[in-house]
Amino acid sequence: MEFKHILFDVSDEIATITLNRPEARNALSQEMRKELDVVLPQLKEQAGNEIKALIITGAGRAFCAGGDVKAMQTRSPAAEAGRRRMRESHNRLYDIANLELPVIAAVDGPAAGAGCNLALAADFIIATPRSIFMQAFGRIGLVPDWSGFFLLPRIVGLQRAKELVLTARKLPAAEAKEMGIVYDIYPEEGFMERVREFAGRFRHASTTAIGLSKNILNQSFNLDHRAMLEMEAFAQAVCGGSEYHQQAVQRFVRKEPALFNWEALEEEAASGKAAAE
Amino acid sequence: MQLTDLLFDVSDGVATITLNRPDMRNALSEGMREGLDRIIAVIKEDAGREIKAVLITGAGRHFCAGGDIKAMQQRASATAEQTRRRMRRAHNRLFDLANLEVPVIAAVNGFAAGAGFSFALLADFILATPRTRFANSFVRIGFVPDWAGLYFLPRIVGLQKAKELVFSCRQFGAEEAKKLGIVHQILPEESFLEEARAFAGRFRDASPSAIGIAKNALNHSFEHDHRTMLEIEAFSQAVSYGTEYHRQAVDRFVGKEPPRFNWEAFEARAAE
Repeated sequence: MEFKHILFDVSDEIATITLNRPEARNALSQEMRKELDVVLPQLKEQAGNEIKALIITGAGRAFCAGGDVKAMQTRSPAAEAGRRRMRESHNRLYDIANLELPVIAAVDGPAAGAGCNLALAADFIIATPRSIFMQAFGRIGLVPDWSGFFLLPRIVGLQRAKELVLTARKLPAAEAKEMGIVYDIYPEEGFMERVREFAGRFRHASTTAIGLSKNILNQSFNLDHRAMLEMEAFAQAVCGGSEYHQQAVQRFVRKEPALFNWEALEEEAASGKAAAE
Repeated sequence: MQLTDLLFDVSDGVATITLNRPDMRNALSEGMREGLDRIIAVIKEDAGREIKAVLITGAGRHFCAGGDIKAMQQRASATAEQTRRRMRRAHNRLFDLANLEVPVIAAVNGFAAGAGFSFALLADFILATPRTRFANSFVRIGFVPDWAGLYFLPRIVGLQKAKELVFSCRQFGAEEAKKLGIVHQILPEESFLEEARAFAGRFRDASPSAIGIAKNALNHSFEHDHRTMLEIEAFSQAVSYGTEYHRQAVDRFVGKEPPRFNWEAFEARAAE
């Protein structure tokens, strides 16, 4: 597929979306939004079949600078127009956060404003030491958008969410890791290879089990205990009937190694790296 | 304003509420409760105009010891209905305190226990000194957490930690509270109030409307689903786009002028 402001690629069952406007630090353009809307239905369609994981990253030395502030200068200040423009993003934002695939944001450089919240919509954020996260909205008199109100307090708790939003301060990668925003920090050299290796581990997993778990966890904080038990019952009924589960049980009974074993995959990655060195 | 057990002052855009009953470690009195209600009405009216931030602190060496246990002894014969009615009188106060549309900073010097601990949790930022101690001490006297502690504590520290602090009633210090996300920053004792005021003063340069709306939305995030939060975000941004502050900030950005509200610049200045 040919796009103007993103790159999209699927190889070895890993899909990669690259925000590709490096001269503007990958700030979100109209084209980028529309192109994401073209890619998302394909990801939803192929999740678990041709595609087992998604990586979202930025071209050049930034992840995403967020909304295009220059474009804001020419926008109508009318509340109706602003609300309409925001609501155009809702399906996209909901779909990104609820893709039934592991989604990994590979953040090398700044992730600011809506760019920071795009990263939060991923399941895992992997950063480099130079990555910076920033709820920059307050600096231009705006409130967090792109789902920040929903995702941020769920990840860092209420007081830290308020701190990051109200101060609009820059959060370095190491501190973001302490807060639970960043899952891991990899060196800049070989960054994308290591992220691909991480994403590739999920090729061995049951995408059904991963997708259902993700869907339910995403709703956990706003549902009551009974509702979560009902969801769990439905989800397990679906998983129990899956081919993957049947096979995994057979292997277990025959004392064969598990199909999906995180410790083994970590060891394999570590020894592969040692061999390369 | 004629106040009992409280001081209230507004200067340079920062409103300061001082719990002023130092001989009782600022335990909550009837006069304090009634005075808070009047102060809150003033702050709601002036929020974003004369008042850009609120600082809450305690006179003397402590923040607040919570409910007045001596007064509880006199209330020992109260029926469940009477107690419930008395508790419910606090509801508007507690909701208003937590949802004032300005940043609220609790400067917790010394002890914050029971309702005093819950009181601090109503703030957006808790600043502490190395001497600060917290305790969720209700269970020790056969009570459950009040002053909205059951609501805020798990939202700040997570469910398991909240249970531990509630069940054990144990005291914990500023360092641990910072690790738990309860304390934002630990400041030296000598310059505590001065630095806390400077911290609050930073918000003078922010957009009062963006801060107020963002706080309001975050406070309710956990009980809404994703779609609802997106709808709230769309309404919020629609209002924000039309503000003078935003228009000016965009012009400054495009004109490559420094932003008015720049946390890193404040921190660099504070470090000097």
